[in-house]
Amino acid sequence: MIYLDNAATSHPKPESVYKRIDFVLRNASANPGRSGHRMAIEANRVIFEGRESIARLFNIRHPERIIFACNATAALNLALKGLLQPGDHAITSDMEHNSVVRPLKFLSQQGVNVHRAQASREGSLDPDEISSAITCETRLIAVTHASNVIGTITPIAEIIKAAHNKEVPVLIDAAQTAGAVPIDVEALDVDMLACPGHKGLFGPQGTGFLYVSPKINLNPTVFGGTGSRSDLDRMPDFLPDRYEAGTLNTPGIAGLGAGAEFIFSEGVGAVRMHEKHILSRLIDGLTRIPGVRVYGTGDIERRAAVVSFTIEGMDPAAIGDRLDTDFGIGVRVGIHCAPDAHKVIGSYPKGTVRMSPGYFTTPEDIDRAIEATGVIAADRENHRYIPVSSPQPAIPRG
Amino acid sequence: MEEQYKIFVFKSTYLTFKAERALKGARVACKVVTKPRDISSDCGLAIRVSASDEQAASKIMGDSGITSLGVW
Repeated sequence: MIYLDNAATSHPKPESVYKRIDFVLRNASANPGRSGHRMAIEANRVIFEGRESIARLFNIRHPERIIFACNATAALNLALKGLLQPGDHAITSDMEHNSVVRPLKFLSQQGVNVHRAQASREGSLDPDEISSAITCETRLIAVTHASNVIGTITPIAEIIKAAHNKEVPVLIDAAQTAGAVPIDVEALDVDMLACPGHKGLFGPQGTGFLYVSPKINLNPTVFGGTGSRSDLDRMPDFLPDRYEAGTLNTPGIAGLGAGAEFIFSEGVGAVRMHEKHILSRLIDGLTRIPGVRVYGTGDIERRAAVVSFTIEGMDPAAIGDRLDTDFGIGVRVGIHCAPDAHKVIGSYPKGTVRMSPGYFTTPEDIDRAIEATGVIAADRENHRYIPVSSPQPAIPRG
Repeated sequence: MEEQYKIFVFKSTYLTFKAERALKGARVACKVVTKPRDISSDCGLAIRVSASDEQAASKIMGDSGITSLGVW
């Protein structure tokens, strides 16, 4: 199939990721941090190397401040619930994913005051507007690095600078940019960075992490065994152990480390260049189809590899079904766990069709997707069904 | 004559493996071992080096910014 759902989970992965997971699962999947036999020590080494690989990719000076989590959502929950207390003020935006919206809603019910900065119709956030919303109670600004609906990139450097001028830390949700858009944690002076492992970083599902700068002190949100200071009935005071209770996902972290190493060797700049090239081709092609409306900015420099569109008079779900059934093209339809973003761009409640290419998407894949969308759009106008050749099944049968 | 060892203990597993990498990078023979019970009731790990390498190991770790909790 032609996989255009990389914003949900990347596919395929680099060969090195499959091989590393297979090797570790077979040879080094004892419990890291607990026992002292050779396989447990090797599992520990896998975790250590994974942390180091991520630190190198994001230029993180303190790798021990990378907290492994099972996805970006868990990382964001730790950041938000570990920091914010009743009476605090937090600023976010109306372009956020439910992984930020829902924990903040929960916290607002506990007494945290949440302000939502408004985005433009193109999903852009204004650093000045965010800065002007800061009060003396503001404890955190939490924003997405790029919209998971329309890909608009948030000017995080400007937002961090403005926030730091008023001594407010910033949490960046890099779900759509980690591995695909350069992020230099030290140069940007990032306070907290939440990343999924299974999207642009090419790890398997069940992986992710939160980077926490030395300036930030979070309360743990999960409590349990760490293999360290087992004599205490409270969590250790050092990182990463303080926030990593329970057995880690050793094979998953091995795959995530291999993915980070792959991107480092290719260069994030090369990934970004490829994605901009195919993104430009996709937007250009879709925009030319009568009846198709593409959302978001046309400025590729301000856009991650996410394209949302609708076809006039058609249910996005029907478009997605036809793309899959008749053309073997995998996309995501609906509101993509970000209802407010759809309200901003005017596609709520039906949502959009989202095509999200990745590093392994070819120009030919894009051309096929444009052609298929054109057929579906024309079919709508002519009220007739145009049969096409059967796609290859995603999983070989028989 | 039986070889004498020294055990370096660290605050975290992360630091233990950081120390191992630094020592191996400097070609100092070392082994990650379980913390001996008479050093700590913790179920963590430690680094074992030959007693004759203790000073060299301490210097390498110091140069790498790695602080141990102590040597036994």
